[in-house]
Amino acid sequence: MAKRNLLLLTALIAAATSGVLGAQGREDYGSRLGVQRGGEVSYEPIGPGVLFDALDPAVRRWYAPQELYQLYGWQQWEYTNYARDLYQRYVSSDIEGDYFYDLYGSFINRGWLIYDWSQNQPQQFGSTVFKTSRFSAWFNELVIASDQKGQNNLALTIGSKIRTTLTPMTFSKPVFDGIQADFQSDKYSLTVLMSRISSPGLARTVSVETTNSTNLLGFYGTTQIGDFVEVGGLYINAHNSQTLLESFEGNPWTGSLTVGQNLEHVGQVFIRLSDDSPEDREGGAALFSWDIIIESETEVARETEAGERVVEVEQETVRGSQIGFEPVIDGGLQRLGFLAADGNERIEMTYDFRSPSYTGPDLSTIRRVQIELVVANDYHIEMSSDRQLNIPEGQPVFLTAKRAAGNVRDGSNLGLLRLDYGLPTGNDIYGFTLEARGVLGFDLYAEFDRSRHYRKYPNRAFSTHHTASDQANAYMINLSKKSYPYFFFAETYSMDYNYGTTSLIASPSGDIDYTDPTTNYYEWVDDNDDQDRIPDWLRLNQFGPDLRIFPGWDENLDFISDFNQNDNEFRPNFVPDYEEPFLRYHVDRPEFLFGMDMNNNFWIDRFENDEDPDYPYDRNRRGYNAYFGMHLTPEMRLTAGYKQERVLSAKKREQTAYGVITWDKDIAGVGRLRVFDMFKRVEDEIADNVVQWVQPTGAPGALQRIEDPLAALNTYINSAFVSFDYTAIPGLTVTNKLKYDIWHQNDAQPDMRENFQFFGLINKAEFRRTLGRVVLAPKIKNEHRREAPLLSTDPVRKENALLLFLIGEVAILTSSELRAGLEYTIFSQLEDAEKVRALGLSPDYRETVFAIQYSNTGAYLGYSLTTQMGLRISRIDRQGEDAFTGASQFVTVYAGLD
Amino acid sequence: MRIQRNALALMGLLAATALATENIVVGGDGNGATWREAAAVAPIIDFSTRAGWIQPRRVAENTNIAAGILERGGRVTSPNAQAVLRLTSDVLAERLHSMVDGDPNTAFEAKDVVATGILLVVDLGARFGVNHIRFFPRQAFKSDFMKGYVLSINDGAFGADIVAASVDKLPDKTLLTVMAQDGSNSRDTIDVRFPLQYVRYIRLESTQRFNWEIDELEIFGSGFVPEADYLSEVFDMEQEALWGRLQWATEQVGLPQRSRLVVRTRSGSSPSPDDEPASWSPWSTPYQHSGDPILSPAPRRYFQFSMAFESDGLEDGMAVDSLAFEVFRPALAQSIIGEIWPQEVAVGVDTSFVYTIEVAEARGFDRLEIDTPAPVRAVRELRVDGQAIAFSEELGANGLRVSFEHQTGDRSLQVVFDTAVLRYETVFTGRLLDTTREGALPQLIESGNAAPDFAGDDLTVRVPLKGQRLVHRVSATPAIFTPNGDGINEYTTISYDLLYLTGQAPVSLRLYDLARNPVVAWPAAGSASGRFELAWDGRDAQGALLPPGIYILQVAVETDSGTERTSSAVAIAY
Repeated sequence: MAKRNLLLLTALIAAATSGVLGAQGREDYGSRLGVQRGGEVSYEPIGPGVLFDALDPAVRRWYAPQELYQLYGWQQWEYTNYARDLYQRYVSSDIEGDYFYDLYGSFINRGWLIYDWSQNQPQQFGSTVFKTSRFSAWFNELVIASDQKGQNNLALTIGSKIRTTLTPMTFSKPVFDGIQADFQSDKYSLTVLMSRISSPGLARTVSVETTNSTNLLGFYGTTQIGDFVEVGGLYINAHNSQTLLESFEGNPWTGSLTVGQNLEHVGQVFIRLSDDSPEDREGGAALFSWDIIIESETEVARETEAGERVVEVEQETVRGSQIGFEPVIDGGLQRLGFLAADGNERIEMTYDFRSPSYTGPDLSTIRRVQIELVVANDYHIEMSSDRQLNIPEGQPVFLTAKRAAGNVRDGSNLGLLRLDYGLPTGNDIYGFTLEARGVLGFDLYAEFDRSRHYRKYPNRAFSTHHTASDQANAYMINLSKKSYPYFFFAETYSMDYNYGTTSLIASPSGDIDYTDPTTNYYEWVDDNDDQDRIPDWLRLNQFGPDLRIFPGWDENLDFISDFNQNDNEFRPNFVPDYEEPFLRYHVDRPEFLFGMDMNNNFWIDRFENDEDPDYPYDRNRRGYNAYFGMHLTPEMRLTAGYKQERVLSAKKREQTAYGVITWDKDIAGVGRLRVFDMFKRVEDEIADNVVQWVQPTGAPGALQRIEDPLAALNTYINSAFVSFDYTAIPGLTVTNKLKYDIWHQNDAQPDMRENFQFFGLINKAEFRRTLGRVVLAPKIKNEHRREAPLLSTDPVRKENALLLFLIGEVAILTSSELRAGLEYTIFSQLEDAEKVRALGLSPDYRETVFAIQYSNTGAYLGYSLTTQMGLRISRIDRQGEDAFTGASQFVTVYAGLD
Repeated sequence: MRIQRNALALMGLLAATALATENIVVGGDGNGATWREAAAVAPIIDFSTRAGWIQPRRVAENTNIAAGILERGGRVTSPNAQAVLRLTSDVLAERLHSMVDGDPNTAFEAKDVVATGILLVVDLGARFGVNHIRFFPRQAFKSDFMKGYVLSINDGAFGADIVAASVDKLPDKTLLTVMAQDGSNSRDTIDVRFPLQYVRYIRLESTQRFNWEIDELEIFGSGFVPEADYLSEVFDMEQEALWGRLQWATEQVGLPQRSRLVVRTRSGSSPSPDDEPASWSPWSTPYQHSGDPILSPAPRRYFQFSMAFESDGLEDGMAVDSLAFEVFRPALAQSIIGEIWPQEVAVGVDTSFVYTIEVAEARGFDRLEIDTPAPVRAVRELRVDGQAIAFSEELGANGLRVSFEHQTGDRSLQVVFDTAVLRYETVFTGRLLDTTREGALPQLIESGNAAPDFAGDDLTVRVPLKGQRLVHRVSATPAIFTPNGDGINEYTTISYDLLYLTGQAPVSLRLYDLARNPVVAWPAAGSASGRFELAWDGRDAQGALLPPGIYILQVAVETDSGTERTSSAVAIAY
């Protein structure tokens, strides 16, 4: 018998009502629809009754008067003649939607189904999400039911792209497709999230029905304690669900094996051991001994003394070593007493249950398989089976089962591991938050979370399966205080290597491709470094990947890199603005940016893009950072601090002592002076690789993976920046920037210079003068650069570029303008020409660019139309080469809205 | 360039070996097989630069690396040209290969198409030091040069798996670094130079819609390839043989710490390890030094070695003159299997072990050697075929040697001795020797069922794992001693066991008085598992006798998992 599973929500929303379910706002359709009872029109389902008027004992067939009688006054025996009364077409009785009833048979409304999510068990295709086309067409895939009384507020949000965050370490998505129910009062708050994440459904005319699905449920509640403290608790769970199972069979929170996962018995179990820190080529996994423990369960029928037949369950546990069931072992370096997997070496073990030598319990009776390993050193253990495959090739996919803490190489962590084999079925996180504001002047935020991943041993003979789980912890504490002129901040954090917010989602067939994150991973915390509405990575049922990621380089929020502002889809521009004639006056090279680089990877932190979830702190790290500072003057701050961090699964550390001074002085009538200097003493062995937006000249920009050069193993780093904007003379703007970076290696590093140095100086001045109808704007910019790159193979650069500009504008008639400009560049290598050529550097050159442009702007058909025509001629004369002249002419029309 | 010569007069070593031991030499001055003759697989090994030597391929400055791409297993491909140019895969492959075929009449052409962004990807097949890439159209089509391009490289190390997997796909995030670009190129020969660096993958993207073609893509550089492998052929000894030492002679170029040679061996009983892998041993652990004993099992008929050249610097490499391995045939016996009992004992406690050996068709032996983790306290008994026989013993800190009457044929030996086990899986390796045959190599005892009454069938002994401590049995014997010069109890012996460690860990030994003041500190030393003893005369670091009293002896071992300390008391009386 199919029974309605109330676990999931059925949301019926009538377009014609205010959105609150129930009989409120019911519309009276008079006598035309419904059943008139006691002066009221009733729509309740009560079944047909007995008509006393129809109790005449006549043979003639008699019909109870229904629609035609009620609506059109037509009687059964009537002759139809429309000569006098013209025929009127039928009015569709369902023109205004359908009737909907709740679980109790109470009439909800007459309207349209907008959204329906239900799960019925046990049956095929029991999970249904139905977003009707009206969900999209009428409501743009967002409906909100809300209520409020006094201080209590309630909202039920159903949408395909909801910005949802519980905490940054547990659930944070720019586009959440599902249901968010929120309650908030002055003291309490509660959020409930629900989604069928494996297939949240597209708005369409048919429902999406499936037997295998993955559902997500999340809860986060907070309560205020006193005036300053708020505590919270959260639980988030995602689990595979299979509607062929009876409801509440097993523990639904740990998930069910899908039909695909449970289709066949496990025939082979694979274990792979490798070196968790292969780069040191030693001290990898040391495997001393192994065994397999097989637990089986068999139903045995027997007769009691009374002659009754009873069925008993017999459980048996056998060890592989007892029955001679040994793995086939491939790889590994044989050392005395153990096998070693150092460097890139791997030990691969295969337990083949289909081998003729296997004499253990029948595969159909196995409930649990445990692998017992005695291991030491820096191991990384992965497991797989012939039921854990990738989809296209059918090759086993290994998932991490255990990694050693640190980088042990002396065998001192020798221990016995028991690893349950199973297929992933679900994961969850529970956690707590504590927030305090202004307690003794301190602000505090603390969070602790524990993630658990569940797996179950498949066996198609059973409907419930043995569950095993791994757990991992994460925490963060931030404490700060400001008491002018002093300020203080401290943070400590930890996140285990296997802490995870990724769910493996089931395809409709129940198959899971464990290698393909784009189709089988669902992320609770997305990677979205540029904080836009598109996650950086590609996952199923979401937009992406975001191919234009440049955090911090889009300060005007137009989704275009500020280093190539005049690039767009229809008029691509592949020349960065700091290389492009005329634009390069205002736009300086990225090398002249400055800021905090707390992970010492050569990239300013706020510009970094990575490929990990946007946790506040990196996974597999533990550390702390604290600084103390004071305002020397209102504009000048001095800060000193210390940071220490380590990688939990490897012996890699970072410690940084730093001091920062900043001074931002606005000198009235003169200009603005900004000074920044940061000094660091760093020992950093931790690689922080990034994926950065690179805009080559002449080709579309692209994301490029960039390896951390680990240039601060034992290093003094100083980064200084001074800028002064002089604005005392009206019409004249003078800008000066100086940047000087030095990384001094205290220990000689192979391939690196002892001192990486970058010295850059930009001086530029712009004067704007109006002479009648003509505006003249002469400009000058000088860019001086001296750089001894980090890698000793890269050549030292000593360059100077002087750019002279003269731009004139003249207004023509009322809405036209003619603008002509001349740019002359003198680029000089401050090195011998032969040396420059040998090093492959750009030779000296002179470049002249002349451009003239006519513009007309006016209203046309409601648009602000800008028409431009002009030409640009450039001539570049490189030393040792023939001069090259190029020209481009254009006529362009833009239609604007303002 | 700095050259370090690892001087090895290989032939001199060979001459020093006894007549019964043969030496098989590969390379060198021509007394054995040449490197090329003995090679099974060696795709990027240089056989020719120095006669009789091999080394990883070193690129000469005027050598076009692109010329050998396909032979090396490299590729020239394009993830999108097939769709744009509407070619079959075979035709596309042929045209792509024409860029590296050295033929001035063939070219890869992209003409009469209006698409930009055609990508060409070159996998060099190995990592090379590259500093110069150039490409150009055919002489007859000089105007069909690439008008706009972006040239990127990847070193084959950073994200190499991802790059290798994405060679045939349009990448969303690139691991390649842009080395040169020009949106308005006017030169027919595009010549890109950059600092010398490792390169494995090169990607060239056309960014203009004009017709273009590439006659040849040429790649130049210098330096050693960072990885190169040499796999020898299978050596057939024609009968079961024993292995002796493995020796090789090398010469290092550049910085010695930046290049390595990893030598491994394996042995088998079938001619082909690929066809019958079960009859072959796994590859041995890399040999640390030339002259180390061969680790592969014996007796076996077949033998193979591999050498992996690794370099971290373009100018740093290693060349090998010759390699030789010692062979003794026939073996002492057809087979020697052994097992030990008991196989699970308490850690660090002296236990009596029964070591049983089954020898089949022995040609003769008269000595047994067994390696032990701790000193052997006593050899209690030696039985041959169940009968106790006379023997002489030599007990060492890490093993025993038992000599007895010369034995031949099928024999069963059983020796009972007392020692302690200090590590989880301790292997009691053993060997039989025939001292009557000059130059005979020892034959290792292999694990097997030598004693049907005992379960286990191997030479391994385990200890319990629960609650294990690394420092065990710290003691002073006698616990009270009297260093007063009377000749009685002048010294105490401090001893301790280090357990479970497979690698070296610093161990410090300190003596404190009861007020926790340090009195004596012995120099810290690195140690693996073992039993350690030292004599102490009751004097402090300055040589003065300590006053009578009770002192605390502390052993601290600093492991990668943390520091563990264990203490014991020792008393001085006068």
